[in-house]
Amino acid sequence: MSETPSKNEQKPPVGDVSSSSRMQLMLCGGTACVSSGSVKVKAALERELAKHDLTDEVDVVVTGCNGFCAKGPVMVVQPDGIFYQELKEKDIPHLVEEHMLKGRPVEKLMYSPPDKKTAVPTMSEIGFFKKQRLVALRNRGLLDPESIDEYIARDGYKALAKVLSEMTPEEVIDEMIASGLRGRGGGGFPTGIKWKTCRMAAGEPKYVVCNADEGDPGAYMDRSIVEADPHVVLEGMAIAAYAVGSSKGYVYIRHEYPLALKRLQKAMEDAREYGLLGKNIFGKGFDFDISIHFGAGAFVCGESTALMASMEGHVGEPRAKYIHTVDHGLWDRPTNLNNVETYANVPVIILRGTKWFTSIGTGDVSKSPWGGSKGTKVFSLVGKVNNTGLVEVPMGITLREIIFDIGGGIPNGKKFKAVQTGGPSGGVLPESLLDIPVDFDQLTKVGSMMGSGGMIVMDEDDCMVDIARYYIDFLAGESCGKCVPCREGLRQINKMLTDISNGEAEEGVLELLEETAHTVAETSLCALGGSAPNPVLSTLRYFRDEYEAHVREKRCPAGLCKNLVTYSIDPVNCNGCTLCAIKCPQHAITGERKKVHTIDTSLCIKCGICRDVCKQDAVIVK
Amino acid sequence: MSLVTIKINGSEVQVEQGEAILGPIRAQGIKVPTLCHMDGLEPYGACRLCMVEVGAGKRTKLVTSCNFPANEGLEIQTDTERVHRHRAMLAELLLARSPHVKVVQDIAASLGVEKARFTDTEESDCLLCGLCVRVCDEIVGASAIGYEGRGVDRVVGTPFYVNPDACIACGACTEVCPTGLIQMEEQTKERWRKELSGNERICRYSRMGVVSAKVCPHNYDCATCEVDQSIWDEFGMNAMLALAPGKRRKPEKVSHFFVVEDRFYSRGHTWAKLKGDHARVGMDDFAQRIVGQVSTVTLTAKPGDVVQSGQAALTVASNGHQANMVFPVSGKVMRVNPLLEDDPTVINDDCYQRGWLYVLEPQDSYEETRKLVDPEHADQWLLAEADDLFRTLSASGGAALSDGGELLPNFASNLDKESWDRVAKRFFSKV
Ligand SMILES: Cc1cc2nc3c(=O)[nH]c(=O)nc-3n(C[C@H](O)[C@H](O)[C@H](O)COP(=O)(O)O)c2cc1C
Ligand code: FES
Repeated sequence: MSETPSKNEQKPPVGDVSSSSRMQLMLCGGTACVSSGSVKVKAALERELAKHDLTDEVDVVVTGCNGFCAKGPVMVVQPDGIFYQELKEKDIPHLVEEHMLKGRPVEKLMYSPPDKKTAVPTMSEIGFFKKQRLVALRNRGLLDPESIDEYIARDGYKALAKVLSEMTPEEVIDEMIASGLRGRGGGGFPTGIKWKTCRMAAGEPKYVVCNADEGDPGAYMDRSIVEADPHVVLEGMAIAAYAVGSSKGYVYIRHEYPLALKRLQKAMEDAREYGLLGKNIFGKGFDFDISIHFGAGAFVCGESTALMASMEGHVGEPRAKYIHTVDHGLWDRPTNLNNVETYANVPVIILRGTKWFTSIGTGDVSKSPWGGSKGTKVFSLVGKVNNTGLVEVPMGITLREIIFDIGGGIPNGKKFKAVQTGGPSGGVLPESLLDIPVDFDQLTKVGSMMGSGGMIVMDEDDCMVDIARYYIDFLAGESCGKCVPCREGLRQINKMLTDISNGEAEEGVLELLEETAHTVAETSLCALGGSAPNPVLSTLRYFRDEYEAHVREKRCPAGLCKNLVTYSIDPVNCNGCTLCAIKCPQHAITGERKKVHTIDTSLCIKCGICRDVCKQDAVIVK
Repeated sequence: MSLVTIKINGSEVQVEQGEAILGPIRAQGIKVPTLCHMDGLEPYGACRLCMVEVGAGKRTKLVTSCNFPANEGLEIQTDTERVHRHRAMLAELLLARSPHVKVVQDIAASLGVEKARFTDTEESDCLLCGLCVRVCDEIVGASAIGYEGRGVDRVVGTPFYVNPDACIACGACTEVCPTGLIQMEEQTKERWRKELSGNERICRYSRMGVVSAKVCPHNYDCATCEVDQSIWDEFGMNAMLALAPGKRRKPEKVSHFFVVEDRFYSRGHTWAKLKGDHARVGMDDFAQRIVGQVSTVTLTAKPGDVVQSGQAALTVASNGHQANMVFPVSGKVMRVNPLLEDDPTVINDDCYQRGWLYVLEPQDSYEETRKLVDPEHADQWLLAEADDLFRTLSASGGAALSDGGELLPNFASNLDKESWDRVAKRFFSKV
């Protein structure tokens, strides 16, 4: 396999954009930055540049999600890689004058780590970016997602050209198998093997479908890829289509993703205009086109059989998978379904080869793609962590590195308690497992999963019973209700967890909880029920003492379960600032200025506002 | 179909390749509890009680036997600790939901479960086994019952509570309901007693297509009727189930025309019903009624032909009028309906089932159906079409409508040629 020059991969992610201008301002136009005001910032930049007559010298490029959403709106100045954060419209006149005109970067708009006061000027030096490795997101922040020319300038559609002119479909499949690429949508099924099965399946026509449903609350990996680099998804799908022998593709996308949708549509139009979609692509006799199908937004519709049922116009309900969708999928035809991120990995594997790809990640895939986890994974890092955002890391990195080095640790000096990986039905892992390498098999072994890449960090204030109850409640609501274990089992598990957190559960409940959870996991019709007990089983496994405290001592160690705690004020710490009394919605707190306050527990509704507002840490919850 | 050898608890048996393993297991005299399974219906796999273990050695997995396909060399264990443990838990969950339902009590008892230990005690006598929904859809074809809601809130009702008109009071759902809870038949009869009078009171067996058109003289009190008695004598069971599959009649009307929500409609009033890798094609009720009593049908394609959507599919003649209708989808013709040759009025009798025209192997069902009216919007579309029809007809001086705006049979027969051609062009020529 030939190695093309490594223009494509960014480590650290700072790069070139072919342009005649001397400076490019890569302003983030991802959903998070747009909602924190990047549109106004853009207008201000353009205005100020015009004022100083810099329009020809300095380009403003609106990019897809940069990843560091916590600090939005963010902007990277190229070619130097200077990183600006939390930009406001009013900062722009000064910024343009100092940096763009006089060449003096503005320190106060740069990032400084929570524990240090000094600014870190360049993106590559910032902890959040340092340990990331961009493969699926290799173009993020480096191009205008609405410009097919910029994508092509960064080797876009070169992989498609290569497979069409130099490789047989079988060679493409062998290459994917050898690369060890496994599905990024949750299951981790080897992509090359799926393609091979689909190629060999009897039936015409064959379909290629991209799963952009992404129903996990709080996760937005796939949306960001489509927003930041829509062509890479189209190119990956076209290569898959060539490999499996299909000429028709569909993207199943949530209708709540307007920006992603707009960019995807624009990308499809441009690709058609350039002859990269449609008939006789690259003059090689290969036809392929794509249509978009809107998902209605039910979580279960991300599941492959439910997704296809919903595309066919039926109720989005899963069916038994004993007959595989690669053989009998959409309209009963062989159908290859992959996730957005999976497709985004395909072109770069073709261009840079399996040797390069397998150098990243864990295990040995030379005999079988099941032998390890290769490449990278995108996570959306959220919860009690300083640097929330979208991160792409090499497989095999530890949870500790993700949470502490990239994520910058836990805010407000709190202690780390647990991390949930894999979305709502992932497992909750304790501190003792922070050093396990993150890959498909390790996460499954410890009772969690890779899932689609949600990662939620929890601190000492989080109660594990409450966390489990929260996810089960979500999953019970999203269950389609077809099969008994998922529908009835989750209902009863939800009730048991509610009883436990209310202090109303009886001895023996934990055993029944476990028994029920095992049956739900083992007998459910689809993987929603199959994985739904993970949050319960993993918290029972790693935080059993916390459950026992709720059941036996009627005590919530985290001080969160309302029925089990009372609020009081520590007379030593209270300085009588009156803030809690002012904020208390029940007027349950009394006390004179500069004197110790008290809480009337008969009025207190345990809403926690007093604890949140107290600067002295004087509110005790026990 | 080829035969394969499988092992059930160690004994070898020969079964058909791909056949669900529940049948062969039961044929061995082994008891397998099931709730959602019924012979003759598509497997559903919802109650999960029929779980067995398949595989050998340590690498076994739990599967539902009602829909797990037999393969050469498959090894099945029905009597393991794991199977028993999970079946018992499933029964306990069902017992918590429906403690007063006898089938549930019986299944639970047979699995050694006496009482549910759970604390969420909200009860329902409906087990959500889906038998009523599926029998009404797959055997009766009326699709009068559906689910509402998701997850723990799921209930059974008429679909979106809009169309109880689709119920023909055949009683099949009542018959298959394991709890005796479903009362659709009685409710519908009650409605009819209130809403229909005189000649409108069509016998429910006529609606089912079991007897020829007949008016009920017994106030829908079927127990006192000799027809009912003779049908029970003949079949010894619910007539609809006895005659399954596919023997039933449309309900009298839904906004003048009957529409079934399980298929796609072309704007030229042909339908396409997709199942597996074939598409069945026919005329819709609207077309059938405009055309009237069919005297001849000429199919323009034969098996093996490749046809395009929009291409002429047939010419129907009636009362001296002719209409050309088009294919709703493209594909290869597999079969034509042999019944049409004997008696083309089968189209009038049952345009959605027995009166079908072609079976095609479609080229690209998904792409094709995107151009068509989807099942969910079919009724709205048909309403608009009906409006348009009445406008077109009254512009042609059509005495086509009777007083109350009801359609007369053969109402189009007194149109002059020019008006007829206008109607045919407007309603039958598009895709
Ligand atoms: C309840 C449920 C929800 C799912 N949601 C998604 C989703 O939002 N996006 C996705 O790509 N895969 C989702 N999956 C996984 C898909 O079923 C399927 O495995 C995946 O799209 C295959 O692509 P891959 O092999 O590239 O990962 C979900 C699975 C389940 C059981
Ligand atoms: S009989 Fe209900 S799942 Fe098999």
